[in-house]
Amino acid sequence: MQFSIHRIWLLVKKQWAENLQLYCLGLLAVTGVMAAVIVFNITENEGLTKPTQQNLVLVGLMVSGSIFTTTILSQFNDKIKGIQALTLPASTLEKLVVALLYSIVVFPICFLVLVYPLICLGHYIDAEMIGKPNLLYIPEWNKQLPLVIFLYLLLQGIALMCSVLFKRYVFIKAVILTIAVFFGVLILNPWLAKKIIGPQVPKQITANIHETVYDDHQNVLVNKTVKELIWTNLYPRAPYADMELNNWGIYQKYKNIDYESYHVVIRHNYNALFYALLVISVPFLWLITWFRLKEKEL
Amino acid sequence: MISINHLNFGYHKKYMVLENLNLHIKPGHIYGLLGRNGAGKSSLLHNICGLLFPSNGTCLVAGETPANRKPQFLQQVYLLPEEIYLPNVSIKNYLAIYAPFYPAFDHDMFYRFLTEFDIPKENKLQNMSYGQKKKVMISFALATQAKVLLMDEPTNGLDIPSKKQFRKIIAGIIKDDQLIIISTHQVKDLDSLIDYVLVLEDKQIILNQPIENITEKLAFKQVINLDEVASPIYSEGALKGYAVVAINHKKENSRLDMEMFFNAVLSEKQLVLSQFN
Repeated sequence: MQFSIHRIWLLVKKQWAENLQLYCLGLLAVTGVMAAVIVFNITENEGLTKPTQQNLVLVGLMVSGSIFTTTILSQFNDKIKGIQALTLPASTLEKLVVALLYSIVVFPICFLVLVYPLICLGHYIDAEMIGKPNLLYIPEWNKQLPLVIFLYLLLQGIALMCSVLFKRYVFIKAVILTIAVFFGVLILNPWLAKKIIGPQVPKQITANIHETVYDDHQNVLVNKTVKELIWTNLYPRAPYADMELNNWGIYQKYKNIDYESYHVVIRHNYNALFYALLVISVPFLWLITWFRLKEKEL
Repeated sequence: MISINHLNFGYHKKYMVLENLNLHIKPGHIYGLLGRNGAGKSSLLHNICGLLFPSNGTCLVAGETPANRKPQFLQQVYLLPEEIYLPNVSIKNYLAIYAPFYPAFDHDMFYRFLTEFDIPKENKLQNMSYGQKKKVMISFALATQAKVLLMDEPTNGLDIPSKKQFRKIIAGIIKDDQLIIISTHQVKDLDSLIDYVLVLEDKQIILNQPIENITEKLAFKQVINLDEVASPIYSEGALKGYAVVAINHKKENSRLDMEMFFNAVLSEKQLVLSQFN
């Protein structure tokens, strides 16, 4: 496999120099749309709330990033541009790496550099000038951020794959494919789970129960795993949601206080494996893109 | 340098554009690839540079399989396509972007060709005419000093003085370790430029001969009356009499008329080919 940092740098410069005008106009258009949405929210009763600001940044980044990503490898779909793109002395891997760099590094940086100051300005007008009690959204490392990053990588992976899979209307086809896969899995998963679980006859099983007891202030009082005999009545749910146990609860005493379970889920030992599969779907999408690009003919 | 054995290629499985094609060519020469429209000239060139993959058979170019599209291979093989794409940048920027991909790129050579083609160096590529763009790309292709230079209809869009200039430049550039294949259906443009003729017909290379071999076996004449020629193979009515391609029994020296030769091959294929077997 051929890989040269020097050629990657040359490809980065080439992409930038050839598309500078288009990228500037595109980013200006995104900024304009975001400014309009911010102004619209400021005029609303609640103003530019912190969740709204967060949604604007994240949804804006996901949508505009996906549109942008579908254009990066578009020259490979055009007969005239494609000849130049395919015969340019760089390996398929190098060409893909540059596309990924633009998709998951360059674009988010440009987007945040342009849009976040707009959010700050919008918040300043909303809170300081109009006087609405809204806080400023400051991106910080929390439990949700890895999930957001993963979702962004997944969407960009799909967009990039579609850009070499389809010749025309790439973004529309990418959206249709994503929706079809999403709803397909959503419908198929409970059906498959139901098939696996079998007839819905409640029965007694011995299971490892992980119990967490909280006080009124959501402080953890007890955190333990016990073997218990339980009645099951399993309900298959959406992918990556825990299975529900119905008509079953735990009632127990802890320091003379009665506790009742309000959230009971069943989790298999191999649960983590399915999350691992979801995570590796991103490099898998890159791999498909690489293969497709490698086998591209004009 | 190029070794193609039993190559089959088709855009659809049922219809082959190239079938059982064999071609072995060596460096140091300029090859003219002639063929009718749709004969598969571009498909052959695209197979040689790795843009298309053969369905069967082997294709080796400079010791590499083109379909692998390795960077080192792509640095050695340059295709100048019939239709060209140029980004909206100046010539200087184009050079800054693309030239570093070719280690042997000669900047002085590029600017010298631009001067010969009379192209202003400060121009933006998008503001140029099609012919000017083509000249920039011809200059770029030659300056890469690629070992295999493939040109697909390079003279399309060039005016008559530019075609002359093109012939002059190409004739003076070829090195011993380089080969150039020029594909065209405007066969007159290759007059006094190429030293080997390749004819692609019936999905195969049916003729691969040096010019001197062709003029040794065939005579190209202008005659008033067809009776003046002993063994005419092909003739066309001309302003004064006939232009004739005949078997060169008397070993006369004549200048190859590419268009006449090509027409003779197409209309009297077996007769012409039998002269070279």
